[in-house]
Amino acid sequence: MKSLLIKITCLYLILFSACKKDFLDVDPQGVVTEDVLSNKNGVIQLLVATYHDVTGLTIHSGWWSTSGTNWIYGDITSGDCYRGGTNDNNDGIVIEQFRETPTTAFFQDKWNSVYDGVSRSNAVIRAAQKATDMTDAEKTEAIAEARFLRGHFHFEAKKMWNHVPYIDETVTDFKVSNEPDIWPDIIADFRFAFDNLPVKQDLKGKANKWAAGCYIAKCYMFMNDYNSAKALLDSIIPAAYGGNGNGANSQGIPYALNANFDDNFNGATENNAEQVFQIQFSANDGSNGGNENIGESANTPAFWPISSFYTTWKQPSFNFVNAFKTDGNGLPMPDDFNNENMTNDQDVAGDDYTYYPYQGLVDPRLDWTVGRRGVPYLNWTSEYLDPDYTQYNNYWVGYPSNPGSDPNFGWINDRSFGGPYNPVKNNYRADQVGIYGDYYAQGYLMGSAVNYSIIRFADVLLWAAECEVETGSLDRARTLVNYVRARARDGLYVPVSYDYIGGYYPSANYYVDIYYDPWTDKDEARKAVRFERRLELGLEGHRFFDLVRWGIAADYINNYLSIEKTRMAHLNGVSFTAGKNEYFPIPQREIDLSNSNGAPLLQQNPGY
Amino acid sequence: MQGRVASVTVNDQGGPGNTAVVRIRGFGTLGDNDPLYVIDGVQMRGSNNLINTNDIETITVLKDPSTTALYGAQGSNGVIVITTKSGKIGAPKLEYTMYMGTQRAIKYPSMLTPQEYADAYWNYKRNSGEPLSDAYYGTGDQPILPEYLIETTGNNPIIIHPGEPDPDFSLYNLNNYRILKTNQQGTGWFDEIFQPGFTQNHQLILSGATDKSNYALSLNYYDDRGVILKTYFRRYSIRVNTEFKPKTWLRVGENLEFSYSEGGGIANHSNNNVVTDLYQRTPLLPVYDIAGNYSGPDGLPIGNIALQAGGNNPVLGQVNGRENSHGFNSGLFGTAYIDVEPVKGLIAESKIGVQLYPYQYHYFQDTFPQNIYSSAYNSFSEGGGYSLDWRWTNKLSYDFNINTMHKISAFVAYEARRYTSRFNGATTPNLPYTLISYQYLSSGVPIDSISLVNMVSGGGDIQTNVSIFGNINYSLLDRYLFSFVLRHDGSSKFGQFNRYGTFPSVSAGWRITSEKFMDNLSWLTDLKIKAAYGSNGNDAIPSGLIVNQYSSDTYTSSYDLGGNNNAASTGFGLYQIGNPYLEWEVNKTTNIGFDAAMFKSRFTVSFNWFNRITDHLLYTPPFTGLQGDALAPYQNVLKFSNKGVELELGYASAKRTVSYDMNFNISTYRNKVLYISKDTSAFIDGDGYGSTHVITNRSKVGMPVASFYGYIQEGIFQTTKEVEDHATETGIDKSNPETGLGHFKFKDINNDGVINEQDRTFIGNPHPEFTFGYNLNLYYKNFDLNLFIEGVSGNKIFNYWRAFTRWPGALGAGSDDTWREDNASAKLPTWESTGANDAAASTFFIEDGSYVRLKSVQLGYTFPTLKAFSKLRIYAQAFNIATFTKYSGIDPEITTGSPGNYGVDLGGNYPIAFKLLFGVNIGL
Repeated sequence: MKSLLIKITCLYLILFSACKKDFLDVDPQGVVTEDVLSNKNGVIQLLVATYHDVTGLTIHSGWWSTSGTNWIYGDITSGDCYRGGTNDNNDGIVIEQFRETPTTAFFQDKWNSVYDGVSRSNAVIRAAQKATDMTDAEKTEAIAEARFLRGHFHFEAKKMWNHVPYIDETVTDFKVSNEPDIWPDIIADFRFAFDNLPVKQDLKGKANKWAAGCYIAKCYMFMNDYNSAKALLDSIIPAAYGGNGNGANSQGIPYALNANFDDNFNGATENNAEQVFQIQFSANDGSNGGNENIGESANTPAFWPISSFYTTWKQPSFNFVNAFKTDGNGLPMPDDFNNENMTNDQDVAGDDYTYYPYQGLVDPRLDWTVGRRGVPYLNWTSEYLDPDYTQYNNYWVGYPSNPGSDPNFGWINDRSFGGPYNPVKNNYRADQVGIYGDYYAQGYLMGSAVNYSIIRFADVLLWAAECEVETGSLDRARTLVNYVRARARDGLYVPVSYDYIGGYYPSANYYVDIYYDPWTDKDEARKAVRFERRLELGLEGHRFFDLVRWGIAADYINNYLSIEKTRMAHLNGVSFTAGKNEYFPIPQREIDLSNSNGAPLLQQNPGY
Repeated sequence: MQGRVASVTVNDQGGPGNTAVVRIRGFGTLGDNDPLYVIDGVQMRGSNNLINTNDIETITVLKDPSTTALYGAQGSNGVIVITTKSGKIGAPKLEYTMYMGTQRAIKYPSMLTPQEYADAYWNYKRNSGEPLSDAYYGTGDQPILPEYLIETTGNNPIIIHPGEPDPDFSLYNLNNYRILKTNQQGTGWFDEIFQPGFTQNHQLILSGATDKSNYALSLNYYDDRGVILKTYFRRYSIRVNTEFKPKTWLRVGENLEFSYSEGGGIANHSNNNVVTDLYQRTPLLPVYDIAGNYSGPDGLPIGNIALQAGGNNPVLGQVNGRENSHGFNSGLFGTAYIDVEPVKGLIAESKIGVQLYPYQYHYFQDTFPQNIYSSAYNSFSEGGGYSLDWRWTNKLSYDFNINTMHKISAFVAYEARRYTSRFNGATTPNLPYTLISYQYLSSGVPIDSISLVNMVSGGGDIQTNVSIFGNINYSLLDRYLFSFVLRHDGSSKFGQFNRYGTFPSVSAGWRITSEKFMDNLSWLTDLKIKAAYGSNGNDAIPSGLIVNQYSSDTYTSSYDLGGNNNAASTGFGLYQIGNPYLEWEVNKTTNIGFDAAMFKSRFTVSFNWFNRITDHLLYTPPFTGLQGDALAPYQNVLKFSNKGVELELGYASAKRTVSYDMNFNISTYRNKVLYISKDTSAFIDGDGYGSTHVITNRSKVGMPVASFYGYIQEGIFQTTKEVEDHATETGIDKSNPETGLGHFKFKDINNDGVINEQDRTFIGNPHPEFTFGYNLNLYYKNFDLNLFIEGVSGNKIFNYWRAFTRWPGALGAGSDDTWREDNASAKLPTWESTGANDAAASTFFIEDGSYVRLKSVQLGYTFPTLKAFSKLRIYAQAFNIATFTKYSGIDPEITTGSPGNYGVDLGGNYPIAFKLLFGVNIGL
């Protein structure tokens, strides 16, 4: 009997040892779900990640292809610069030569990157709607900020591809048509932000009411709706610039042009009164380079230590450099600037010490925008280069002159492919390595922390000038352009001293001035305003999109190519196809995946 | 097991400590295809180098669906059941076995000499219309090899040719002025890295049993030094198996092994490892510079085709990588069980199986100014982790007979399993002293407050499963056999709606020889016909895929909202897109066959036909970017089948002075994709390789999974007319047809006059037509001889290896045999500066992968019974003795890898070695 009892006890223990009911409910480890983030704190964290996407760097993104600065899509396609470097047949060169196809990988990268921003914006909105620890006002403000960003990312897609799907927080089936024009949706997002965002934000990097306002104006500019744009811009531009608005940056400082042109591209003077909305790049912030301007990290002079890639991409074109010539009145020469090249060292040996840089009159913005031999490149002097590097010591010691384009001596990788020039804007200074550059500057990451302006006030003033030309007063247009030119004239120039054999000489002859004579002809005025945009905003990622919205891209670019191909062999045979190349191809994979009942919902752009 | 059991393929991973890749009946899924190993009841998915294989007493491979069904989700790729040795009734027995031996790589690739390469490069210059002048090789009709190269950081090297003044050796400086004397005869990089290996294994087993208990204790030491410099694996293990029967109705026992190992091989089957480095480093470079330091590539232009400096010095990499790297893997695994039999035939069993794998590593990374991207600081990293997997099974079984006609056995069981893992690691920079005794995480001097934050990592995983399953076996007159299994499996990896799957299996057998009407066929000892259908679920996907996951990855989610330039706020971004509707992947197998034994069981035949269908396959197909740039969601897509037959023949002679037995098996399977999505043109591409991301494998409905995909190469353009007449190819300007000469001519499949991606097609099947094995045992007096041959036939290999070893501009022998007008019969395209797409995936790279290999021969001698020993046997064994193949790569037995690159020879394979072992077995 006892034995049977033991047997039964054993049997019971074995058979009915129970398991917990929720044994199979396991949360994913090391990550959180949307529910965890649906509260005040989570909404802020989701918003931070959404802002991050303004840099363009997402999980699968490329560095160059998704850069928030758009140098691939906005600059190398525009006649302002070449992809540069060496002929590696990278997609960047394919795009420079208008050879892109729907399977060119860069477009899928960019598509993923901008729609990741949209997806993150929507996550903020959903989390805010679900949060129970937020007031209605807090929710509205968070949603307004998310909608500002959603507007920004859709705007990026719109200017790239024109016909793109609009994705809001309610979409669950991601097969979405790109047939409807999404301008109204984009403007609605910005309008909601404009109505609900404060002027003064607690953090400098946040978008404010006026950033939304300026973005609405930018939409109108892209829609060629000059009347709406003009009205809105008048209500933004402060009285000091002849407007009647209260436009101010996110610290509440009224919009104004900086004293110095270069203050827009220097890490030490970021978030100033001229900034409407900037990408807040940062380095050494624990992100392993994720917030650095990695997308432009190859757009530096070659050779250690300023560049780690030795690539020297985004090299300014001859045409672009020539545009900075000025006449005896300090005014640009839009009709004949390109008749001959500025003196350059494209065919000059690095040890030819008789080379002397161009001595004609130039706009001082040239050398804040373009690096060229014999002119200081910011403050990169030989003392910042390897002190043992005798080659520099022999010749360049102590004098911050650009050693030029000879690959054996200089800062250019392959001038036969990229020309003799380097880009300057947004690169940091020699004494800023480790502050606006990575601590591990000797390593392979060399991203910059210098902010990039998505919209700055000079851009706003020049839109206003365009509107005045098209629908308002030519005189007001001239005044607006003159604000920008006066700053170029009155601000700091690149210091001029050049160690030419036998003594020191000025490296450039700067002369720029405002338009004193009234504009009488609308076409002349339009030409002047558009030319001013090129000089002021050159290499800032806008040019190609400006040419397209003006409707002149095909003529302008083919005209540029007809001359430039005689200077650069890689442009031989390149042409811009009107009606096709104004917009980029929608990635083939996205079209394939939009298949619904046998037909794709996404339609390809014409010509591809 | 390769070749010894039909439909089981085993690919040696080669390197020390690496485990073999085992596939049973082809590909069952696109994810983890490893079979389940059941070692004394402990279930492990995939093999494990911590197991001491010398303890193994029996191995059984389960392929039949009614048998694999008992193992549920884990058994969907087949089951390998291993039992280790237990004690036999009698006095304690002590047995010592050992073997040791050497090994060496079978085949060394031959390479160009520096002069041959320079000559080829001069031809490149001629072909490209460039002047015969180069910084490295001087100017003139003949290239002149440089005598010294001086590497200076950040600048082109200084080059000194014979006849020029020697460099100033006193300027030598490891940091910035490294003087290399070139090796005019050519450095044999393979000779530097490949070396003879050495293996030894010692095993001591103590075992015994009484009628109330049995026990076995084994100790093992295994040491394998591989054929690649500094690769090694050492393992120490101890195993204790015991069982006690305190009562007639009670049985308690355990099997437990603890194992500890150090070392390892290389990342095998890779296009980027030490082996591929060897192919890409010019023989002109010496191993050491003039001061005896390792030569580097820093200061030598990477990507410059004149020099082909390759990456970092592979000798430096192997030596440094191994000597500064320490750590261990360990495993404690086993089962403990208790059986109660209250009534005869009724057994209640509770069993717990545990696997605990702790590991630890630490390595010191020194600075090497001669390396590219060498950090300015040294660093030290340390980390570790563990995984713990327990499985608790409670089972009630009952065996009974109803008179002698009906035999019934049945069970029901309930099982719960939980898997947990955690890992962590940290790195500290800038150790002031590099002594091994000072290598601790506390010894670093952080360069700034941030660098430490970046250098900490961690993570973990939790998975749970529950199952209820039952089985009924019914046998009528021992003649008609029926079996039924039903499982209900739950997994934490699926959402609430699809968390459980139900998987039935049935089988029936007919032992015909037990029928009366067969009595007169006396030569037929046994004949059994069987048919089975069974299903298994598979949940071998990562955890947590049913919900959207958000991560605070600083690289893609943080942002400097404060505008501070050096401080980012924490953000959370979508990391993994979830799919709440995920459900079990299902394997459904039908099996029909027979087993026969004839002539007093001397001759045996076994035949099986099978059809294995995988449905609702768990996979991540291409996904729209509109939902966010996160990891794509898993989906239940794709269906494919493996249909095949297996035949095993055995013969054993009668026992005579010379007696023998042999076994031959042959099997085949045909893989076919049945469904991908509603879109019938849908396909799934594999991985891409090289700078152009050449896609080599594509899966599409109607084709075998992972079929090779590319262009059809129709030859080489020999004349300008041929170029003009052909469709336009990338990089060839038809208005200047000279640009096409010597380049590959690809077929214009859609006849649109342009060769582009639309002209790719299926160009080969990586699956074998059949595989076979032959095994012979021969006995003469006290001698025994075993011989084993295996073979694979009809599979194609994508020889990607060729693209960087036997190719214009490559360093392998024959790379200089390129097309020129005076060498029009060359197989390789011309070498010139071109945009032509010769290296695209094409039929050029497809080769027959068939081979026959004499895999092993063993000759043994057993001493007649001696007083001192109960047993004494010595033997010699050789592996990989001879291989017959037409394959032009190093070896056709390439590790199959994943379906993304199935059948692609990536070149970076650990060399197959010829091994010679001598062994002794002693029993006391």
